[in-house]
Amino acid sequence: MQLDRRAFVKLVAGGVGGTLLSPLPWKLLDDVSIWSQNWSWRPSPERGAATMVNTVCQLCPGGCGIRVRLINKKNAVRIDGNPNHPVNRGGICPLGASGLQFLYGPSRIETPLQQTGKRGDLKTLKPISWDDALKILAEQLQGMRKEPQGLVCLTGRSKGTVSELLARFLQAYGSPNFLVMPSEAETESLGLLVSQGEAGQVAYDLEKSKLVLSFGADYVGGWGAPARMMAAFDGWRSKPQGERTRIIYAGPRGSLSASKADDWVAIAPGTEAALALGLASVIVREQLYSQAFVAGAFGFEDWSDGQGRSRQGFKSLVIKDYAPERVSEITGAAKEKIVELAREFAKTKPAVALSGRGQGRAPDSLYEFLAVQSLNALVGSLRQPGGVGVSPKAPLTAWPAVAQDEVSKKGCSAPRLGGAAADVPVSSVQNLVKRMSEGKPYQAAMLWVYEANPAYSLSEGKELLAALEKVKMVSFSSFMDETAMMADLVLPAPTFLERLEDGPTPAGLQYTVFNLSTPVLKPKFETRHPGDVVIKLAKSLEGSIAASFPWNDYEAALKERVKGLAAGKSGWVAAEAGLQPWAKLGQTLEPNYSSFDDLWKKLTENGCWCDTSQGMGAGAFKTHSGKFEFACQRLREMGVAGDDLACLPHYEEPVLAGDPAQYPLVLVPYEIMALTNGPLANPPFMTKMLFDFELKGSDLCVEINPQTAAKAGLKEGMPVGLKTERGTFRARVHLTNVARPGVVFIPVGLGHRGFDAYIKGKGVNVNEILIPQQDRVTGLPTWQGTRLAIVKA
Amino acid sequence: MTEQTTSGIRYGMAIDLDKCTGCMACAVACQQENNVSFREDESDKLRSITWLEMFYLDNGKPYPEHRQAYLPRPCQHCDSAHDSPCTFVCPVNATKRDEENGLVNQIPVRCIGCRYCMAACPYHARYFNWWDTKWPKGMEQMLTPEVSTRPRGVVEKCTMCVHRLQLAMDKAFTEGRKELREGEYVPACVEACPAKAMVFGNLHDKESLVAKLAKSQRAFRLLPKLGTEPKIYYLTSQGWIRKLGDNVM
Repeated sequence: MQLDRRAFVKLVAGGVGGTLLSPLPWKLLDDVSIWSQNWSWRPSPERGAATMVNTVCQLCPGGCGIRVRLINKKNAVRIDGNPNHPVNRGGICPLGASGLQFLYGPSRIETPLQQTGKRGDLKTLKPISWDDALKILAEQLQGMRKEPQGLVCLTGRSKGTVSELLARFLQAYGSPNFLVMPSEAETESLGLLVSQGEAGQVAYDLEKSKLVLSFGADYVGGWGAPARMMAAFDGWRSKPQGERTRIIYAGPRGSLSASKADDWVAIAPGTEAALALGLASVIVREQLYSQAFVAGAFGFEDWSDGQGRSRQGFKSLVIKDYAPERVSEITGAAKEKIVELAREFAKTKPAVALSGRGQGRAPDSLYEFLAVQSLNALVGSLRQPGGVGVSPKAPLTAWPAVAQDEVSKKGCSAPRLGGAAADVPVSSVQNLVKRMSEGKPYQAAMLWVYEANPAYSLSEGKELLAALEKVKMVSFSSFMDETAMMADLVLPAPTFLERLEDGPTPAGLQYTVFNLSTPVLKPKFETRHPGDVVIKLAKSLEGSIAASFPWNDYEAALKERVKGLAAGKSGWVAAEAGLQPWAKLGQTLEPNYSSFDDLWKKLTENGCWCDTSQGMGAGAFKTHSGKFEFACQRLREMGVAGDDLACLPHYEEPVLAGDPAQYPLVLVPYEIMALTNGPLANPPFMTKMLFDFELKGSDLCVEINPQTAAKAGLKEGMPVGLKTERGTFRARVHLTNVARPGVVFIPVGLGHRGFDAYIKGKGVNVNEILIPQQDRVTGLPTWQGTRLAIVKA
Repeated sequence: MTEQTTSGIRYGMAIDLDKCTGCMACAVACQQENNVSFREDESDKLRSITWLEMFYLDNGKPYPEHRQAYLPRPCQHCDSAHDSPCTFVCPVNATKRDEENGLVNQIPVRCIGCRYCMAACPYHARYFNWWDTKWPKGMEQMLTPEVSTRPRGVVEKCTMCVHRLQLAMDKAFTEGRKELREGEYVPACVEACPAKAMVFGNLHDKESLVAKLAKSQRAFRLLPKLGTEPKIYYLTSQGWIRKLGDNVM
């Protein structure tokens, strides 16, 4: 049969039409969807029985109780908040929720490593056994023992038994060089010491406050104990209309904390202290302060010192120097606003002011801390419900005194490499790096790094690495961070989910909490608990060093401390929900354990012991005057320069590095919940949540006000060079009215060169571009801002 | 053809934007619970898979009257009659609304990847797997076994953690119950929220917190004029946020 073109087309068209009208193609489509259901390369997670194990998160100082869901008791598949834990009450922050990305992270260090070639060369950073690693370390320490002060230890965790064991080792070995990474906690502690007589941690009884005035503190952005703050915020916003807690935020940036407040007072960066003193000035002049409190305080009125000279008091200082007109000029806030705010703060009871900018981790100026806390004292909020106090310490049993031989006594009396300018009990890592580079007054020989990433987090990161030319560096990191990459020896610790460790009272808490993290599964790799490592090391060195570590392992040492909790008459293990410790301040809690063993069992099963019996502080202040000091006499004793102002909270104009003619803008760092900025790098789950106007490809975006951008000819998303006196760094600009005109905001936590491919090489490390100020009193680096020029990319 | 039953359960959510602090714990918990993939560069938001996406809102005013807010947007589990916009267009029934409880289910392995549902969804709540997921070595251990992992070529979206509903129902069954108590089934996002801004439950249960919040004066829904009948209610005292919720011209 002959088929012409037309017939052929008709045949084909008819065939197609007929097929389409038949069920065939639809059946085939349906079948294809079924055939393609099981691609063999899809991971099929192991199934099995699920159990929940309680522990405590250690990814930040917030101290949240968590529950880990395990499959077959060995695969951790979820972390959520423990509803029984009084701090977070079932909630969790994004970092805690991403905890498994750290446990199973691609940059985990699997065995001890030794650098056999050039420092920083990952190819010659070779795995060795624990026995070999500890033998090498012990030999090096034996060799150094003639000058034991050459051993330096830098920790990121100022509290906790592991840091205490490290400090103990240094003391037994003979070195005074135990340092803590720069942190606001140190500023706070010193501030409390000089004004109230005892170092400690500020407690905020926020659950009962009626007015919260934040001086730049991101109260819902990670300040304090983050999940506790969110729960407190929920509480403030859940109250019925007439009883709502008012929230006021003062700061230069329209952060989420500014937006969620009832009122945002926009001020120039670094002028928080001036605003606080401006409010104090109004309160003093209009006599709205607590007469009773002030009558029992020192330094409110002018006073005379030991030499009989008359010194200025707080009252005359604020009236003379911080009138609303002057403060308005300094801060940029309207004069009327300052007066109105001052009256509201003084008249609302109870009111509380928060100090510690951003997440309150990076140090601020000591005088700023004192200015804000003076405000709290002035209105009578000190040691009052809804006000501030001091976090009570857990009654842990002390370890026996350190055994010292002649060598260690001599070594410990050597000058501290981290000593600050004045005789101030704060460690200055900046000074440490400088002295290590110079080799003066003596040569450092070995640096231990625990729970810190100084190569990334320090402004002097590069200088530190250069100073290591003559110094051996040992890292205890679990991850291949920038510091571990540069180490001579890496002794990897298991992650918090794989190790036993205590956690101290979370920042800002008004009752005592003793947190205990317990391993939820066996360590995944050949890691060892740093506490066990230190004890074993000490024992191998024998003599008085070994004698200072009478325990078999870390658990034994920790248990000895915990005995003190069982011995007390008050305390409670959080085994069920519903206890609101803030509602029971000052009351005794009936212990729900009968013996130490019972306490230990319940504590390891639940994670938290708490107590309310000590309240927020009581009794006489341990200052010279026996009173709260508005004028802190202790500061003069410590040799802080300046006459009357040395002792008084005051505003000092921040010195911003750079010539304003060349660098017309100001660069200020800011922190967000979606970007972790401690010793760890952001996990992929969190990095994904950064908006594309925060991180675009590998470019970090800085925030700039549209008016300022227009003047500089900048458009949204434009790649630019951020230029400070430290160099030029590539970024993009994001135009937003969150930013104060003239001020450019840069997020903290990017610019990593270590860890893994998910975070490496993205953005700029603020520690490399900013130039911190060195606080006049503490010697700590503060981040008031740096002058900036924006140049072509 | 679905028939709207007289079932007593319609699961929904109330999200209080006054309480939401934008911390992203919900978004992270969702990813962890549901084995959501992640890549080295997630800044191309058209390719980024976020079952629970955070919308950034601002009031458009200059400094310092500027205010920002975050809005968590899970799948809205649209309750429009007969079909949600997405279930209506699926050629292979890979997505269907379960009229027993109101959840719009997604069966990724049945999906043929035509992405018609993605075009249909006005909330951009559906995501396509352009690539197979590359889990870093060792991270496969953290995958939730009750949630299937997805190959390339299929669409995925928020399921309201329906696997948790299954587990809760199984548990209730073993205890001789058919009804679930309030709080027995809660999606991962709601469980995580540290500010307790998210509330989940049965919108048809007049006594439940979610039903009460849905009737609040502060409550509004996204794009209500489209008639999608979303089951996620947002609460806000800020007029500017409320206005952003609809495509007001």
